Amino acid sequence: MIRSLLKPLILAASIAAFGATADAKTLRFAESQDIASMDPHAGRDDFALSLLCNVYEGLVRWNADLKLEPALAESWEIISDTEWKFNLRKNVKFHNGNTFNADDVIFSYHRAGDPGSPFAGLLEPIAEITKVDDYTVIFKVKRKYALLLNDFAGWYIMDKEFQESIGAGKPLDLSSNAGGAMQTQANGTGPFKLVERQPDVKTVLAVNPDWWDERKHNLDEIVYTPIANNATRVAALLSGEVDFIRNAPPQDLARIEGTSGMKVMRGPHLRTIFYGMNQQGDTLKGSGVEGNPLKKVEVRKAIAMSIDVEGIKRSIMRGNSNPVATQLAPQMPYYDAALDVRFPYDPDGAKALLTQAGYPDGFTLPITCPAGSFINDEQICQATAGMLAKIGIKAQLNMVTPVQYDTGLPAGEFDFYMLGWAGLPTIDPYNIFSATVHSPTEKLGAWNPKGYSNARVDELIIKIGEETDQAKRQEMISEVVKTQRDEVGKIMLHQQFLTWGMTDKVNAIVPGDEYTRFWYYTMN
Amino acid sequence: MFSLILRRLGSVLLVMLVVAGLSFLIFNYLGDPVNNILGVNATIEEREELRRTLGLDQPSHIQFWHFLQRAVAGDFGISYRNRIPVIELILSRLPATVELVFCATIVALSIGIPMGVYCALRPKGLISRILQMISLVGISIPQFLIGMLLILIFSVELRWLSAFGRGEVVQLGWWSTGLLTHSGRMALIMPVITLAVFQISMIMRLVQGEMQEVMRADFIKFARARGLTDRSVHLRHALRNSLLPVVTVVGMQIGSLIAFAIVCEAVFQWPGLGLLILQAIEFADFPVMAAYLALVGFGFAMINLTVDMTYLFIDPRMRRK
Repeated sequence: MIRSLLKPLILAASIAAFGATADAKTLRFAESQDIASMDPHAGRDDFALSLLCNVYEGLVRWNADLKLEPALAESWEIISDTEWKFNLRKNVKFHNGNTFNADDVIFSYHRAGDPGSPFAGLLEPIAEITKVDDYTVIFKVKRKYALLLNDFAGWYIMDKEFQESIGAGKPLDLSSNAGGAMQTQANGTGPFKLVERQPDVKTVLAVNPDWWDERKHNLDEIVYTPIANNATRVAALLSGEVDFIRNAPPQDLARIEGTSGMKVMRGPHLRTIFYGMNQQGDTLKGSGVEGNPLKKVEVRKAIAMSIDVEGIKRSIMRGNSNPVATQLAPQMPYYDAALDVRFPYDPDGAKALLTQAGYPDGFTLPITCPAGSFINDEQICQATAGMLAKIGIKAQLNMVTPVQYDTGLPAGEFDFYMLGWAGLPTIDPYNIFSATVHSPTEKLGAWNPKGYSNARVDELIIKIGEETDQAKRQEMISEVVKTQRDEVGKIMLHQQFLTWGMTDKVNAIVPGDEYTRFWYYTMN
Repeated sequence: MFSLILRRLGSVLLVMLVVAGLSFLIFNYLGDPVNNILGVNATIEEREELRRTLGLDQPSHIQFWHFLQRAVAGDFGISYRNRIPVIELILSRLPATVELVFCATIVALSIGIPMGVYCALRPKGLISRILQMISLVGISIPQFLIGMLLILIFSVELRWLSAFGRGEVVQLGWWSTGLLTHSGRMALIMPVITLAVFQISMIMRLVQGEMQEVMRADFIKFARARGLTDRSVHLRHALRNSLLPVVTVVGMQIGSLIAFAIVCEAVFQWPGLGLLILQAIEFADFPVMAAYLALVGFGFAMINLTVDMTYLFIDPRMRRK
């Protein structure tokens, strides 16, 4: 009797379960590498954060149009030049059920911001944090600072109780292995929670049904697989084993678009590509001429005029680039279209400029180029060498691996190098200027060694970091951009395009900072 | 004999020392992991600070000395990239590679030996010529090309096999195996073929050459004179006597494949040692590289030691020396 009563129930339950799996939307996603760990404070590593943003949240976040919006903070007010009050969102649960409150914010501040944490640089402007009540905190900053909200979008909140219970109260210390538990565990407040992780093999996220925000996506599960080899990753997409690959290799775009049921979504990247160079040294090693020709603005201008960036766009980037005259991509806040006017491509004029500068026979220019850091970096450098030859400059190409490049460039080992900068995670010109335009110091200009240096520009950059008035910032930012452009501090190339390959089933957004915000994705 | 073994063990240690020492010299030219750990936004100050913490600001011989001090205590440090202890990391990747290499070797032996025997017995036949041509192709095609061709045919076009990974694996203690699940066995097919193609060709050529040599030997003529069947002469006498060099070479091949199946593992995203060391090099993950190279040195030295011991065991004259 009981059995006969139970039978229809079991049947109904199994049908329901079957129905659920048939409808379950799993997004299978492949990327060239794995993230280092599930710890969002383990490094200021945009690649890791671009995925972890689905698991953890900050006080504020970037929306689909890269505008700041409230996340774990509901609202905020500026009390004085150095005090910000944040009202925290109530009824937010971490994935393990713990309640989010001010103690977690304070804990996360110390975890990420205390000296010795690899994340400390981002929170450096903060002097102290005080708890007003369970859902109100006040941040005191060391000086007037304009970009607190931008920085907070990249600083994720972790659960105090959970982190302490697994012995990961501090980010991993590589010299002692404290905090190593974050390799396979995560507890955030975000739209997806971690359910399985095998480092370098796969990471599975499931939808967080208790997320505080309205659910716009329809994904139930995300399976993230690192596939290092470009060709294999594309093959995995074409064979239907994955639904989505970020940054499809340029040579495979036609193949993906030519396959039925596949598409490539494109979007402008915030990253602009340029050449930086030694403008401080009195000599240029290996140039074969006296002095340092790169010190002369005419020479830098001649190099800029000799580069046919439209030709590079046509034949190397296959249309997937946008030539720019300044470091600010058009999608960057405070972009000034009036200044985005390139020097004309004019080899004859360039040669005349070189003669005028005292180098009628040119010189030898050592160019250091990363092999694999930027889209088509090697080919662009080779093309540049050919173009420079037309005005009498003999380029000596030196290709280095990305890790050699990332080590040698900040150390000032290169005299003429390709570099790209996107201004992440701040998404503000201040980040670009402070890293690549300011004269190199202990804290600023890390990616401008021996490079462009102008006292007035340095002074403006500091003020841009402090000023909160939009109109005043715009004026100063435009002045920096114009000064650097007129003095040819960098030789600008183009803005890269993002090219994401996916099946027709996936509706993604392609934001300029390359973050995969899966809570905007849907699958048919 | 005991002193000989001791001397041999001493030379194993020396090999490991030299390999690890050389790897520290190479690190000077690789770049350093600081940018990969801290991210591009780190200031010069922060970079210097991390270099000091990790000891990367020290000259390489000092770094090497620190490495040795810890290694003696069994501590090889933490991977900069995977952020777990290096030994744990290497052990977790070992099963994938060992399974792949052993499957490939079994396949290679079971195809290569019959092919070699056939070609040795009928060197002028049409089939032999075709087999020899195929083996020439097998030896000369680069591994990544074979891998990509297989992926294009069986994953992209036919959609029969997965282009990447190991499929479902089962944990048996610390060992993980893909042999017990359907998807795990299917995932092995293409990587195994890719690794085996070269070995098949090599084994075939070795067997053929050796056997042709042996077939001319007097004892084969006597065997025939005794009226033994062709089958017995070929397989029991000729083949057996040709296999010794094959076993030696295949043994050495297994060693180098376990250590450096890099291309094949990279093409199929096979989560083994080859992929690990490749990614470690790209990241400048020095602790993994140093420990790995030292362990590989240890492995090869042990293989050599075993071979020497075997000779000693087989040939009494060597013991007296």
